[in-house]
Amino acid sequence: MKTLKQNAWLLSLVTILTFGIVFVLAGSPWAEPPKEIRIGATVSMSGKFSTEVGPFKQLMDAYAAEINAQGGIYVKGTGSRLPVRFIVYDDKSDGPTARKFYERLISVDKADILLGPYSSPVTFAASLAAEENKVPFIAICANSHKIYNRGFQWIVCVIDKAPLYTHRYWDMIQAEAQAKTVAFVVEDTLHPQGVYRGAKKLSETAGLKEVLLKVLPADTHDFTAAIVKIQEASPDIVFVSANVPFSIAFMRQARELGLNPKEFHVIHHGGVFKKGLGAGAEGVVGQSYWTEGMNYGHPEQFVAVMERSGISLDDFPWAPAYMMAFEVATQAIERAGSLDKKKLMATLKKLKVMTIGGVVSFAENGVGTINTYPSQIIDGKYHIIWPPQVATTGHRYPGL
Amino acid sequence: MIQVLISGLFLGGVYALLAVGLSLAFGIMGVLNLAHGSLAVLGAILYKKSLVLYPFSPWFFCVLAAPIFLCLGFILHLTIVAPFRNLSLSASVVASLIASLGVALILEDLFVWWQGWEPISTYFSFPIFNLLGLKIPGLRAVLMGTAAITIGLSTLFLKKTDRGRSMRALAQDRETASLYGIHPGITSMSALGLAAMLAGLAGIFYSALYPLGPRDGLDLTLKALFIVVAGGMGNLRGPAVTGLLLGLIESFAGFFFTYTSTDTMVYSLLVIYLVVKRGRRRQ
Repeated sequence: MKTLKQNAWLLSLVTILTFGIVFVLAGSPWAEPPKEIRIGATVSMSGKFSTEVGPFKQLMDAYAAEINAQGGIYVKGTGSRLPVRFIVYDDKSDGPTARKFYERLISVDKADILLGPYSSPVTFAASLAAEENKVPFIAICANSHKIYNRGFQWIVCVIDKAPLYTHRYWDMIQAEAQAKTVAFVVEDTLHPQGVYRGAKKLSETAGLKEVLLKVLPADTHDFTAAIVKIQEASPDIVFVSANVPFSIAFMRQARELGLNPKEFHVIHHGGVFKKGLGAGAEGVVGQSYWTEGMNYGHPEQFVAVMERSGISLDDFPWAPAYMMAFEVATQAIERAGSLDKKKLMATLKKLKVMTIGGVVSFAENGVGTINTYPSQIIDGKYHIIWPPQVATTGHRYPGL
Repeated sequence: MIQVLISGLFLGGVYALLAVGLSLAFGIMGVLNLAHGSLAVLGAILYKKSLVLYPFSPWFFCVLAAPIFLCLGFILHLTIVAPFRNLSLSASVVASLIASLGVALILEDLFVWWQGWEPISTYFSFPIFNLLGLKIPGLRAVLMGTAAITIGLSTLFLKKTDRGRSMRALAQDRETASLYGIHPGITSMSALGLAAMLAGLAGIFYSALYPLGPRDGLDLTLKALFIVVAGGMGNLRGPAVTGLLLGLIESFAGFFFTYTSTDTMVYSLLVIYLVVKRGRRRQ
């Protein structure tokens, strides 16, 4: 009986010691070194934003393949190059779903660093998971001030704040001095509202007068009443701050009803917009992160990634912004020399790196420096039109 | 202002086309077909896909699409009506309702799989006419005319042809109609074929001006149902007039008030109308 008790005690002691050793070693310098770099992300493969970024898992996998073909990313702490693996889920264009998946990426998949989802509303929800669990989070296409005014410490964003989104366009308008008035058509959602607020101030600075503002629900189908009012106001520029489905619907009816200002500016005028409008898209000005002919950083690597992914830049104009986020993540890991999350975040905060869209660095609240360039659809192709040192062609006023 | 009026009339014409089909199916078979709006979305998708092959005008494509939708209506009849014909009236109505909801949901998923989440948007360039100094958007005017002609032809079909008269007889008294040799199965199948055809054409017209989403089918059904409830179940004239009125209300609400107030205004008017109508009937 006594022997049985002694054995039970001994067994318990061994079990406790074994668990203790495992726990201590797991968190110690003797723990097994990482074999790969895990980058977690969600992509809107379905839902309303799938038209914008649907196939971007392919883009991520193509980037990983490019990097891994060179041996991976050098991590000084491990003394070797580590291969990159993206772990990606479909957030269904929905904030709560994205947050759930980011929690999974952190707790189950043990992601070393996170890339943000598409859009401000989804990023707003998803970034909470990163902040609560103290994991570096690189936001991409999400520049609403509401995300960065929360005092979060674990978020940075590649792109500049929404109000400055169109500043180069207004610089151009001011320099050309041909337009005097502007009418704004704004989709009543987070990002378009943010862009509008900035554009309003920038247009005033450029010397333009706002003659009409129409803020409309995202699901508006019939724009006749708004178009009639714009015709009455007769502005030089009609500035449409909206997502793609809204922009297509508005522009199609504007063309059909004969609205003919000097220029239409549609902030999101990517390939889906161009296809949806056909000839009606000709001459429309919008914003682009990158077009062929720009020579910042390593455009050849971006072209190779795009080719490998099979994604068309025309159809998915946000691909360059994602590429910049990949470049930022790569540089942060290399410079930190470690996958330790605190070190990675500290490195990110003081990072200054050249990307295909220009130099990226981050403000105290995490907002980045990359901004779009005004681009115009001319003969069915996108051309950067300002500033002159980056422009691939000159600006034309279609309505003149 | 005239553009707002024309736009409202056009929108109303499309709503009318959509609602007339739903009303027809309900009046003759007692079936509330919740897949009706999904058929409209299918019309829009087919038109969009066809444009890759050839730049058809919407009205010409309607001629090609009409027999396809007629056949789809027959198939739909075999799915949501025929299997339940031996049940009691109330049980068959509920069963058909649920079956049509199932069809609508399956179709929505198929649409997303087939053409993705891109808005179903077709662009057809058409000149603007100048009439006494007024700018008349040609596309809307022609589409409005085509919608009116389609409704007119459907009414003529119901009034002047044997099959149409059979449908009306069945709607009035199913048992007596059967005694006079009208086959309920074939007649109701024809009615659902005609309803599906009207839904498909409405979708083609709608997509020629407004983008549709692959999951907009149930929204369209709801709108059509609203018109049918307000205009009177089972007849054609009421929903046609109510559809036109709804289009005008939506357009002018967006012009005089804000766009966000449009739905509130429309549904408030429906509630007021139904309360007044019900009050009058009680008196």
